Amino acid sequence: MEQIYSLWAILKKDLATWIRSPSTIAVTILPALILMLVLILQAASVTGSPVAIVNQDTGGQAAAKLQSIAENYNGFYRAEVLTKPQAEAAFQNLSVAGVLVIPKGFSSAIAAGRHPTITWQVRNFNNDTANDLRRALPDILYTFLHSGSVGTNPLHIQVQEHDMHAKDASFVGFNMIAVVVMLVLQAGIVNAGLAAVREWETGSVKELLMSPARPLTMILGKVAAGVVASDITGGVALIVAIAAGIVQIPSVLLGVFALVTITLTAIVGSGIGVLLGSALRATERVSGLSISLSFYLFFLAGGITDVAYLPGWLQAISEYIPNTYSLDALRQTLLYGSTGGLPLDLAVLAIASVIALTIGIPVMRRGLSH
Amino acid sequence: MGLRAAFHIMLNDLRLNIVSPFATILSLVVPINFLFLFVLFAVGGAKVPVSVIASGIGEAYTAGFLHALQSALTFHIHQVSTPSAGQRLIQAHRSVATIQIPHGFSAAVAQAKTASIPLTLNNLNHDFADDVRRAMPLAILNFYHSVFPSSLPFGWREVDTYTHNVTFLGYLSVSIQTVALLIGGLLFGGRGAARDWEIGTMKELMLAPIPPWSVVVGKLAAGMVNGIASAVLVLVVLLLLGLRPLMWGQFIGVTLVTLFVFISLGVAIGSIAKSQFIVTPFAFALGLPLFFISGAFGPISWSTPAAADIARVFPVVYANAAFQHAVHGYWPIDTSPVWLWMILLAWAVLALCVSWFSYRRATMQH
Repeated sequence: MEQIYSLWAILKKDLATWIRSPSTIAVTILPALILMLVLILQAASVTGSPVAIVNQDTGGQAAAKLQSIAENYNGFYRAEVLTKPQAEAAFQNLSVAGVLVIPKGFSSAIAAGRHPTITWQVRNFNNDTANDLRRALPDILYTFLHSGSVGTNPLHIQVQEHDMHAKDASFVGFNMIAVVVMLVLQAGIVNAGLAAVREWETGSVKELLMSPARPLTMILGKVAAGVVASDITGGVALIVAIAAGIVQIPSVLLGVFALVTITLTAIVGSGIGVLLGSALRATERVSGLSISLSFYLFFLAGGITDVAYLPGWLQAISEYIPNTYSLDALRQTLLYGSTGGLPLDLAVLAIASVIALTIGIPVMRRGLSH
Repeated sequence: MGLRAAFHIMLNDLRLNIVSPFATILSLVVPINFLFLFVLFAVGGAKVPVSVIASGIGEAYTAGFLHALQSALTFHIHQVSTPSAGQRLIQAHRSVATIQIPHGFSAAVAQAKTASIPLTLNNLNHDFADDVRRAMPLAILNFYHSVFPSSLPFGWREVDTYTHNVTFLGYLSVSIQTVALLIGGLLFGGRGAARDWEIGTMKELMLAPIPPWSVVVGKLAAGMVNGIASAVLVLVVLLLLGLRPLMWGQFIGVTLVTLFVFISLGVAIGSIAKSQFIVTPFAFALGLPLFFISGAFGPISWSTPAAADIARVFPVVYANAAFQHAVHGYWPIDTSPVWLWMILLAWAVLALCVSWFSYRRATMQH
């Protein structure tokens, strides 16, 4: 019972220190918070680039239909109908990334069976943006052929799409989950690491050792404080995301699973933090290394993409990164409203928590005994 | 006198780096870390992993359609034999879709009958799912274009602005060079300035019979030496990735100006915060978002107006454009080169003034 009181006292002390230290809170949340803001700012332009449409066949019905399909195409960030000189100027000053030219006499040429040629001018700065444009034109032409504006559709291949999730998650929501996981992990590593270091730097480690609390109690108190601080930061980020309509909690049960995932991630982070703090024993070392480590873990777990998109050797590494499973569990529960793969994710996170504590606690214990 | 003092302050800072090798190595490798992490991102984001089940692979049109899928600029194809094998790859996070070219596909195409292609899509998010959805029409049109060209009532022609296609990795790596200098510069400048406040030697510097500007110049010089060492490391990695600057003079010029700007700002932050602990997250918090909005993936004029307007305020976007020009030979920005250089140089002067005033303010308050 006495040890529980000691643990509670250490937890309260570390949390009070955290709350009274705006710089620590800033260190914990600033990188992830700004990353979140950038995601929101950039979201609209992720789907595609701005383009110009030049319709030189002003009276033709087929040309008008093609223009309309291109104008409303959801793969462009913006599509403006311009004259040829206006489009050239916009292309030159980089206002648009591509210019679609429907040639003069396009509609009559199609009606007469002559094969008119549509021109697609592409600013190919790099393959990523250029390939988005290269995919866009065939997609528009495919819709155009299916619209019946050129007579019988010559394409007999039909794609029967079966989606695994009822609706697509938004780009921002998908990446917001990654940022929340990074935030929780980083908060755990930084806070528990600094809480450990602080005792050596301020000399209070001596007082702790003279207290009736056992070393294990002290360490668990520090880990618990790190977990609570991480849960608070992660929880606040999630509440903001929910309030902004970016993420939804489909049911109470899934919400509970999400909280369990966040807490297990926080335990992993705090275990790593205690390990770093006890081993390095200097604030600038811990803050530098813990932030770099958090970013590494973030990217190795897929970061703002998914593990499936990583090369094989990286996929193999990601299987050993705990936040890979945090990401999967939170995306399943909060984005797809599913529990698929959740038992495995939670089991791996629980094992990772035990491993992190099993390594972190003896290192700090040895530090205390010295 | 002042310059000699600055020189010795620089030497002292560099010696202190050797005394605390852990923190120094960490700062030196942070830019390389960034390069490495974003290379992972670029490698990962290039192609969409999908499984294809080509049931009648011996049949002409099946092979033709498989080839069209392979040429659709999108897919990294795993060929599997059954839909359940494809499903297993999706479950194991090895693929995000299964495309099935069924038995009878060739016959249906040959007889101009409807041929269905079942597509099971793990629609993780709208952006990823649309990449797959848009690639299918590209594959279908390319297939018809190659096997039944006369059946299509029109043709299309792509006109590329540049004859050479720069890869995503090639473009992104150059952008990372800019952010690496930003973060490295802030860390070297900031930590160098904050360290003297933390260990209490700033008082001695203030009491020493040397002009105050020599302290700032010494700190900036030490930061530049560290920054250049870090930039050389990044350059070596860029060369290993096969990226060789076309214009070495411009590349070196932009590197030095960018480093100077961010080391000066780092000295300012270090003087205000007086804590190395705050400098590190600040460098990351400023570096990452600026990297994303400053034309890392393409020109800022193709981005949202809000992001572009914010980016235009900072020097990162101009430095990035100058680096892209030095390496790839084109300007991915709507600012003229003369204006761009003027803005970069103006930032260098502004950053120097800010570092000077921050240092003076910090010492006066002390």
